[in-house]
Amino acid sequence: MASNQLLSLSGVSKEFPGVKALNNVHFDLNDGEVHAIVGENGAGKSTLMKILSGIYKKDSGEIIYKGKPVNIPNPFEAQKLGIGIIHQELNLMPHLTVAENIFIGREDRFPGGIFLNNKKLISATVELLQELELNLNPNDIVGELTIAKQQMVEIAKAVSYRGSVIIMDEPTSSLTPAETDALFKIIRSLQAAGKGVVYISHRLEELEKITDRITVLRDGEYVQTLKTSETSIPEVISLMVGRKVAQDQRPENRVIGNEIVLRVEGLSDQNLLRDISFDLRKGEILGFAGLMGAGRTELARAIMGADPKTAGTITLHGNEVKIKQPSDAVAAGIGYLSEDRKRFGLLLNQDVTFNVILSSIPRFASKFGFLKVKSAAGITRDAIAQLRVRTPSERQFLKNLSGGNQQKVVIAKWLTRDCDVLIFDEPTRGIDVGAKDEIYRLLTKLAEEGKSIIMISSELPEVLRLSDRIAVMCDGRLTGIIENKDANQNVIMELATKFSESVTTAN
Amino acid sequence: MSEVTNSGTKAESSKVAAFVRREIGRVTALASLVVIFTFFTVMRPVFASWANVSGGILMSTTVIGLMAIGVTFVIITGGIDLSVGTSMALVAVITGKTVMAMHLNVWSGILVGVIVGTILGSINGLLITILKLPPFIATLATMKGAQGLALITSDLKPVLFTTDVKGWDSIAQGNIIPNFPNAVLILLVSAIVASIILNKTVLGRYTFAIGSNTEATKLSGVKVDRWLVAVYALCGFFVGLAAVVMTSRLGSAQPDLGLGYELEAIAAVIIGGTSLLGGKGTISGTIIGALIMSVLINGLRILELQQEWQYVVVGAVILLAVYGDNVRRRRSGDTSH
Amino acid sequence: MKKGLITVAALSALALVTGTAAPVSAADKTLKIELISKGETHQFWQAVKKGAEEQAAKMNATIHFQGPAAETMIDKQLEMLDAAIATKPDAIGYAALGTTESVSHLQAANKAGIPVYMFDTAASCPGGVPALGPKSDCALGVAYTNSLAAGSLAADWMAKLVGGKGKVLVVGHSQTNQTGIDRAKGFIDRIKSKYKGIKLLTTQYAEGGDALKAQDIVAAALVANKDLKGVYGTNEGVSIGAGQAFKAAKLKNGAVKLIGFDSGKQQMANIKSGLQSGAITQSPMGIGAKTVEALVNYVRNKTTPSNLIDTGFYYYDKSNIADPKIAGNLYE
Repeated sequence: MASNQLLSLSGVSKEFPGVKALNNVHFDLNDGEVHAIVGENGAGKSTLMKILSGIYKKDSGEIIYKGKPVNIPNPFEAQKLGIGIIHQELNLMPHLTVAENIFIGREDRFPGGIFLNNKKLISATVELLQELELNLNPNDIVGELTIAKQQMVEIAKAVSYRGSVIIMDEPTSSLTPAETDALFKIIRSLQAAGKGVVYISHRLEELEKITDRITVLRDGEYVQTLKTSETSIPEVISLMVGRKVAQDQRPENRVIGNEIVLRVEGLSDQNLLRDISFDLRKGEILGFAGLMGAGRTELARAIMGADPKTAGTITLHGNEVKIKQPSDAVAAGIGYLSEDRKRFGLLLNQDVTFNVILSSIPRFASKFGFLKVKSAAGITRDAIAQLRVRTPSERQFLKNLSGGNQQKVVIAKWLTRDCDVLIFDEPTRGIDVGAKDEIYRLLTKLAEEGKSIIMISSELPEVLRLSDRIAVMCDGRLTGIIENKDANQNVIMELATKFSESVTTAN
Repeated sequence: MSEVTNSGTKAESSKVAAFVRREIGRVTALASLVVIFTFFTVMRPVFASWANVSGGILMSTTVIGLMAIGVTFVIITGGIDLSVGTSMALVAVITGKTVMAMHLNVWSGILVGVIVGTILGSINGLLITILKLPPFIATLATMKGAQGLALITSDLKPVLFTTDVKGWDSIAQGNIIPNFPNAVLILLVSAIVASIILNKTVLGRYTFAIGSNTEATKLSGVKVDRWLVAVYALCGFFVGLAAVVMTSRLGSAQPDLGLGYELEAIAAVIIGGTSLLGGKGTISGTIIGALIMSVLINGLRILELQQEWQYVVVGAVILLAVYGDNVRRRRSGDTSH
Repeated sequence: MKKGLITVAALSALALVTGTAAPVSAADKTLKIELISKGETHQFWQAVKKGAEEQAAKMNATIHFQGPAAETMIDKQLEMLDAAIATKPDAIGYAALGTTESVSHLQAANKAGIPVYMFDTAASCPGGVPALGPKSDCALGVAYTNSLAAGSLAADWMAKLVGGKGKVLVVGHSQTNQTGIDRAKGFIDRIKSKYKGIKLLTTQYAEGGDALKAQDIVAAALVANKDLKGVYGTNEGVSIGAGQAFKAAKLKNGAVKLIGFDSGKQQMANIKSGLQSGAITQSPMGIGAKTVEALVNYVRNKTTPSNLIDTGFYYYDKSNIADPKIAGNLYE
């Protein structure tokens, strides 16, 4: 592919009060190229993207676009120049249709400029969708689409500006493998049309499939730009974290007793889950693998009583327990760490102490209902030390902690509650590579101390690394439970795609 | 997350399901209206007489209905307008004073009313966009302000129209169409026009877009602030119209009449299936919501239920209507709210 | 109260004895009186205010008149009362909105040594109206229109107008304030006890005197009762709304009798045109004047006022609307 330089950034710096977010960063993009930017959380990827798309202004440095130096003071200007961005948090209007979303702000109007020409809007959308080979109905309400399809709407919208540069920020974070493949097809067709794509992702294995070059940032500094064909994932990771990280680890062979802590039998729900039975032993980590939508989170929510069950029993330490709502589960000693920490796990505007004692407030209340502030702070300080939460003090607000440390606070909350069974849903989502290791060590340590852990994860290396046994789900059913030593990625994927014959998934 | 489709017929049926899911809010509201109407008709057949339907039910829907149409736009943007009740009183007084002082005819008087209403609405919009006040606070402030100004400009006395302005009472009570009060005609035409604005114009599209996701709309290059002012101004327009109808029905502008009407208007909008969180709603739903309220109150009056119990029944019906909507939404898996 | 008197006497005695340069005694000082009314909007209260102001001017006193925006705002009014007490005026006139809620506030005024005379509506002071006076810890007395009697007079006229039989609807303007309750009750009790031929429909309320709601209520009643003979409205807003409902239903003047309450431009026009049969008017200026008179006499001349001053009421219609005795109490 003959490549002309489309975009080049040199010496770009950006400082926020107290933080040097970007320091003298370089980046360039050719037409027809997919160029990845990688780095741990806080490395400066988002800041760089926001400067490119006009949301932030750079403090210093130069941006050359199509051979000319440019200023990008606001998002409109970026759009005018032809730089489109697909944000990590989807920026769509869920109540509007696909067509309305794509052309928002640029609707075709009848002469006079007041009335909308919906026919033209639809035909323009159909044309665009055909061009991108996207299987979307222009009249569908966006909020009713799957995340993957919403992502496609975002892509179509970005392309509809007919720009030359498209920035994709973590586009696959919520996609299934099949959906990811579909996205890659679109990216390749954009590439063929001579567009430049800036690709940001945590999923390093994707980089090999789709990118031409990879630029690594660390702590706001430019580290290196590599040709994808001449590098390897371990090399990229070591550049990101500044040291080598071992791949494909397995748990040390731990001896797990036969004491069964949790037994689930014949559990079903209204929509998805069908007849699920399994045991969880003391000190065991039971990994749950499966594709997106296989029902793993639904299973966790059903066990917790957050969603209604239609059949099935739950036995704890040999006694059947009735769990009708999450408080019943918590009272029985089951803690759930949601995949969406910010929405379901944490009070971001409160301090560490508040979050740690949240599930056990009665323990910290005097008989007149006042909080025992000192003992709460003491317990919290212990937890901070034990879990090695990096925070200046127990009074720090949660929103100021990194993702990994926020996750540790959620764990501390459930440990303070004295739960025997902990259900982790995607424990390392949004957590950078270095901090992941720490979470892994913490989970292992908890298991060794006798906690029983269910760990739901979409990252197979993570499941293989931590789980003593691995339960695989597909389409609401449990398709198999295997010992770690018998498991590898292929075996798991086979079980995860064991759909019953008559039904096929539409992506 | 995994949409399971099998064959063409299944896709067809899911399309129907999607339609029902989208429209069922209005369908259930309409069904409740029919049930309530039938109940009262069985209890007292005179309830269904045209005299009661036009002069009792429809007529008593006009003022709240017009306000509710305006408020629908505001609520779809995710905002709220608490000022519509007292603004109506202020518009009524100013219109009355102006008409009397300048000896205006009916048409000019109507024009004054809608212009003053539109201005008051724009003020709300400007407070919200320029001063960045939350709509609840901004309109609470203008609600109080309008209340005071209505008392001040009226000199604490009702402003009498009828004897001085020829034909002012026919605005509401005349019959361009025989046996069909003009006020009801005004409500009907307003609802149709508002529905067209909401569904066919740029303003309507942005009304939905802003309520659905303000930030995304802004990032898409839409001048959100400007459109928000337009939405509040439009709401003010309908408040102005409500004021004109109110003064015509009463033959005078009552400076202390209107406080509390904002809640009735908002209730009508919500019963009609518009989401308080913004992003969705319909004018027809709002009209149905307003009708449910007035049918209920009129029916209870005709049954001569004691006033205390009338309040209780109305409260219960509001609860039922909104709760039913929630249950239905949860069943159909609409998680957008 | 007694204690307060002694203090005043002691102070003036002290002033005499010491012979200080500026002897400010109650006798020649301009008295400051706070009047807390039930509203400001309605012209009725404006007439009360006018009567009070005129009387105050005659007696070397100034008044500060205020009331909440709507007659449902009990809390607002009590806040005003508390604020008035805090300014330590020479006397307070008070028209009770929340008849029980206000008692403790009045007792606070009494503790602060500020005499209170109630007007229009009495609070439910301990012992009721008979216990009012200098010994009461609540108020000296009340100047008011006997609303029960006024309602009963309206009933007599209604019976006369409809010929003693047929259906009659009462539309009240409040279920919580005493005046509203009494105006309806006086009417209903009288009809029930004396005019057995009249059938009363269930009483409906246009809360706060909302004319639009009153119109809807009467419109519904006209549809449901083709044989409706009369409507009684307990305040100006209700009377206006009822008249408009007659108009909208295109009733012939006098087909259904309408007796209203109070006056105002529109109601008076309706009475003159024959749309409305007549109305009861109180003497609002008299209420204001008599309240001020009682308070000033008490503070300055130590004259104990009667604990109950009836300020009077009249029925008026087309025939006597211009009669000076009536016209003086009507307001536009």
